[in-house]
Amino acid sequence: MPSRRAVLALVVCLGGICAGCAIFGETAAVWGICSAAVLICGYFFDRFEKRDTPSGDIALTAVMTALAVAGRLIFAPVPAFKPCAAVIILAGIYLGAEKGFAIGALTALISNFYFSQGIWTPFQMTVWGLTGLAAGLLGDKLKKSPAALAFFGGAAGLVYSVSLDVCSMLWLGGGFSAERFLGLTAASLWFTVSYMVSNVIFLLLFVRPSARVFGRLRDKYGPGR
Amino acid sequence: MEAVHLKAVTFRHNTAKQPALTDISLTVRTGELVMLMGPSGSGKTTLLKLLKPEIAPFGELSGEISLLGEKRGGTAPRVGYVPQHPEESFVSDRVRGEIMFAPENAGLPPEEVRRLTAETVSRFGLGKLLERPLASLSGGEKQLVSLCAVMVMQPDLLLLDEPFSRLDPVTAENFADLILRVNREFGTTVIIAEHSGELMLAQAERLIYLENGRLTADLPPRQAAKNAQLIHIMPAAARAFAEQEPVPMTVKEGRALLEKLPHKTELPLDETQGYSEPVLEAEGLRFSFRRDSEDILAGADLVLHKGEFLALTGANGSGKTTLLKTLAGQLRPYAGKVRIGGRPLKKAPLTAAMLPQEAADLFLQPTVAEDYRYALKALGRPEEEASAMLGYLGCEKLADMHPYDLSGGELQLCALGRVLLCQPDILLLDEPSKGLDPLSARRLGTVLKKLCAEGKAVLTVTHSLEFAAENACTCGIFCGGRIESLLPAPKFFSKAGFYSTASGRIARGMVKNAYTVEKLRQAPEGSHA
Amino acid sequence: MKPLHPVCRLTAVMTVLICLMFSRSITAVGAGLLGGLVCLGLLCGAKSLFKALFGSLAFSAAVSVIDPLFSHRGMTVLLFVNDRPYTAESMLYGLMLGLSLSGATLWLTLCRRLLTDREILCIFGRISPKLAMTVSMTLGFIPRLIEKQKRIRSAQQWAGLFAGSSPTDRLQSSAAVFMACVAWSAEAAAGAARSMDSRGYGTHSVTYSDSRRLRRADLVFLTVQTGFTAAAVIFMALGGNTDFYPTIVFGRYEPLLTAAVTALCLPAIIFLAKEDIQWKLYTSKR
Repeated sequence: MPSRRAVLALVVCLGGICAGCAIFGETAAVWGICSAAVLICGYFFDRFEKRDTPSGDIALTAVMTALAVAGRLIFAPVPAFKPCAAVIILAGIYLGAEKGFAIGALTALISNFYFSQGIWTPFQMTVWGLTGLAAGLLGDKLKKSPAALAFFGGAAGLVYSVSLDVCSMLWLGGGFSAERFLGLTAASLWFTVSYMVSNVIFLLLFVRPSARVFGRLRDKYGPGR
Repeated sequence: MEAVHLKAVTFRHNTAKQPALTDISLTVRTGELVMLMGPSGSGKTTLLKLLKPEIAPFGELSGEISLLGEKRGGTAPRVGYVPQHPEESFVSDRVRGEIMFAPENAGLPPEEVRRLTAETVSRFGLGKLLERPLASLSGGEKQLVSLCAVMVMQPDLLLLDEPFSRLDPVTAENFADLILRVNREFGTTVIIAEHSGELMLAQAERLIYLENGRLTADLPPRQAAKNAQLIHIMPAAARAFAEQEPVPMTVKEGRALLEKLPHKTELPLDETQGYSEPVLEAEGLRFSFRRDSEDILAGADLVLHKGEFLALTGANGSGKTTLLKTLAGQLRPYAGKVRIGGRPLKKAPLTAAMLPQEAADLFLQPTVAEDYRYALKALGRPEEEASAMLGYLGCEKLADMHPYDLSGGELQLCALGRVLLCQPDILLLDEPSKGLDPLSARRLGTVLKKLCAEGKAVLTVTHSLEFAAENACTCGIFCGGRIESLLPAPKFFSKAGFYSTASGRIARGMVKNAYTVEKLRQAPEGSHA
Repeated sequence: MKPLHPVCRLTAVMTVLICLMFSRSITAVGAGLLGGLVCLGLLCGAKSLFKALFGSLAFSAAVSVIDPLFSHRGMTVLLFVNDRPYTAESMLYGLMLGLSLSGATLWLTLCRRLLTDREILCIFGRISPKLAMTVSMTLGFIPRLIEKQKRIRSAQQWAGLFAGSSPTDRLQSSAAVFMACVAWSAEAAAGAARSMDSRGYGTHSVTYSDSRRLRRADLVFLTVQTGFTAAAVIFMALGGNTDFYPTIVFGRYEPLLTAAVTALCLPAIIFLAKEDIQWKLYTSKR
């Protein structure tokens, strides 16, 4: 049973979004996805804030985020070939869905401190956050089968690339047009493919060693840490 | 009042069969400075952590612990714990955030948090560091910040876990002074877990010695010198004059005593070995990171021979590591030449390998044996050599350990083994004795001497003059980008003034050539050579 | 703009950003970009100003050339590409998009210049102290990880490994080093968690102390910015946007919208110009 405050907050947010759509007319789509991104991130961050998080969870969230960001920096010279998404997926699998979201979203936010912050930041945060969340929810299955993991990694790369395309298209205005969509997808095809390939390669390279790393962590420092 | 009172405390870790601590009873009065000593694995850290309930290890505890007059489990007593490695305990990105962490998490109002921070910053002189990123601090500064992050809550009992293990001797001395000030000027009770008594033991009121989880000694440090089991942890002065009464603890006391004793004025100098076959020659090396910045190497000359153990000593930040990297071919000098086996680096007929300062960086796999096998595979050599190497070093028991679980000495040995896998003719070592307890340092020295005897050449840079004096054949000082006074070790130390070992400083001007504890023991008249 | 509270500086950026993102008025967007350029010039000097100016213009030109390839609406047909009309209106629409995008990027750059990481965290920390703590911890871990990565790699090279230079060798060695970093991070996380516990984490809720209260000048600044933003949004809703199709018609309230956006940039410009002059006077007297 959701609390009255939560319902009220939801109503206010939805009202705000509708009002925004009405006001901005032509740019309503941008407003819509922007507020959806902010709302999703806000919801999970709020849960993260409210929950009684043990210190180990905070430290692990921080360090995995740092790893994903550092991965993006370390592999910076190679375009689009980054272990970020792989780290986020593995973190989601081994640390759980909610931490997966936090790690994904914070990775996008913080890595853009180092690269450049742009209007794409909220979308990137949401997509990577949801990738971590999904990895966490499917964790047990992905742990068992490398094939499933590889498929998941590829799919995550595809979804990431395509959804950023959709966002930039909506941003460009004039609503959804098939021609524009195809144009953008074709333009970013090289990126899409390399995201997918790098995810699969890094996941398959990392999955066995990281199982041992997290296993050791659990044995040595107690469950959940 | 009693700051700590333990009564028949026995503790067993959840994962272990044997208890880590057995039947420990001890009392520490408020305001005392206590050294908690013992070999690695004796339960020092476990005992220290039990005194800080928030981080007490999981396990089975019996007996009674009361802190500052309160039973364990009551209201949180004001205990501060400074962990072993400051770097691994930082929780923020900047010094300010690190200092503010404890008060911010104690539920204090913002004004109070800021006041406590301001007090700490002013008292410990952190003003200049306040906005610096933690990653940019030097080792000593990190240790200082780590202490301040605990002192900000103004604890009545301060626990320090091996505070000097990552510091060079000079920085360690400064930090020891700071701890002493905390004890003397704030009246804080201080318990320090350490494996070497060189630094703080002279000033400590009590020495508590643990062995295999049992308390084997609890006495004033001066008395400990009489105990044959404890002599190895004592400062050099006490080791040299253990039979005297009262036992000297510092260089000053040692000199005063030696003056009074009838003593020889000269000891025979050890014979020096001649070397003929140079394997590594460096001539006029000059290096600088940028064209307009100062030279770090300013014409360094060096010759290392086959079978030679060469130790370069030098102050912090003098560029010793840069020299090693240049010799290893990692950095390129803008003038001068490095020749290995008489040929330029690129076409060197001999292999040079280097053991870095952070030995843990060598390990890529989760156990020592797996890592050795991984390295052998990468080098294209049979995997059986892994166990042979572990046998050679006497580390068979460590094969299935995780590198991060090894003690400092074990890690250093295993890392040395990992470097030896590529069958180098020349070994370059960066501070191999840093943070090692006296026994491990001796063990490492023995292995290195054995390698030299087998025809390898060893070049080590080190802060520790003691390590150089006890092990090296040739010594030099690295200073101002050049190598000064490159001489056979006995000659080097017989000439040394105050840049010498503690024994050398005690004997300075009175007994020639007494630069190790062993030699100094022979100085008094009537002692047997 | 340091004398102003970080919240004010963030508001100054965010309000302009909202207008740049949601208005489709070519003049308002242009005004926003211009305001940003002036701020950048005052803050970082002429060199970065010209760099940004050139960058924005090049980007806008590129978008305005590309856009007509995808959108064929508009009356004024300039030429045909693949039998599709290439229209001037579409070009102008592309120009507007380019200006808006480069304006947004410019203001985000300004945001990084006006606020330090620490100040952003400080604003963040008021709303969500735990998250701010996590971010600060992450920022502390990143340089250590990069350093660690470099050290591990060179340690391996000194021990005779990683000599190969083929792409697969390089990938394998990078992956092995990265995995060693993962193992180290797990230990570091455990260490940090222990250190947090030993310093009282979890016994109380986190206070965020690193902030100062709002002064009168801050409140005035905030009120002014909010007021102009509200005005701008109202003008947008009433019809402040440019109509590009079928032919270009300026919106009824477009001049007012543009005035509001200009007014939004002005306080920042005034502040920065004042500081610039003050410093020049101050240094010349010495």
